Amino acid sequence: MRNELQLLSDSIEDLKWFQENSNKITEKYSGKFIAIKNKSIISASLNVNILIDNLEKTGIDSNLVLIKYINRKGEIIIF
Amino acid sequence: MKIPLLTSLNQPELTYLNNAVILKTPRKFLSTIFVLDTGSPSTILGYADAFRLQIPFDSLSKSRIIKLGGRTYQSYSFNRLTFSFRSEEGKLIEENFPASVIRPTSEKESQELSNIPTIIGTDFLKEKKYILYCDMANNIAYLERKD
Repeated sequence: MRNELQLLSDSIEDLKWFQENSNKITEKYSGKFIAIKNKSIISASLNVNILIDNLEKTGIDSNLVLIKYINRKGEIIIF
Repeated sequence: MKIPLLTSLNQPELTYLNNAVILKTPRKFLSTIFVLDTGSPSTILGYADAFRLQIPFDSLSKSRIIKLGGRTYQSYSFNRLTFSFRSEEGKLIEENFPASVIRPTSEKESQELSNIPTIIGTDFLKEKKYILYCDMANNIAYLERKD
């Protein structure tokens, strides 16, 4: 297993990067699921299962990337 | 010991208390995002995370009925889950804690549930004795436990 603390630290930095750039990302990926790795979006899809399949097909372990749903512009999700 | 929470900086539509976490089962692990939800009495493993962790729904026992987003779902109890957080000092904090898992019964439900991340509820705070400090106006939030 890859160093767990390093993976977690990288994921925290990726999440911070997403939040700092959320306006631009929402403009482009509204309503989609995105995969974030190393402060960039490496894949996107309307369907999370398809996103995971696409990652695996390109040799990327989907469990090592952050997957996030991008709210539609003006949309707020209340759990 | 403090676990920092991100408060989404200055993005008003993203003001959830969240951060990254590693979730582990005896067989798999993944990196994902959790939301701390003091409105939820139960900790819930997000469906997309459960899918990636290959949670064996058929071997889980039924738990409570959960209403979420206007729908009612049967939840299942998954007891072999470990949350790994990063402390303010950069150390790994591991917490074993059971989570409810929601199983969709249709493709439409599957899509809807996929939008909902893993939620840490008040049961986690109570059981693990964490105190939530939250100052949204100044973008400061964290979980703290006096060891």
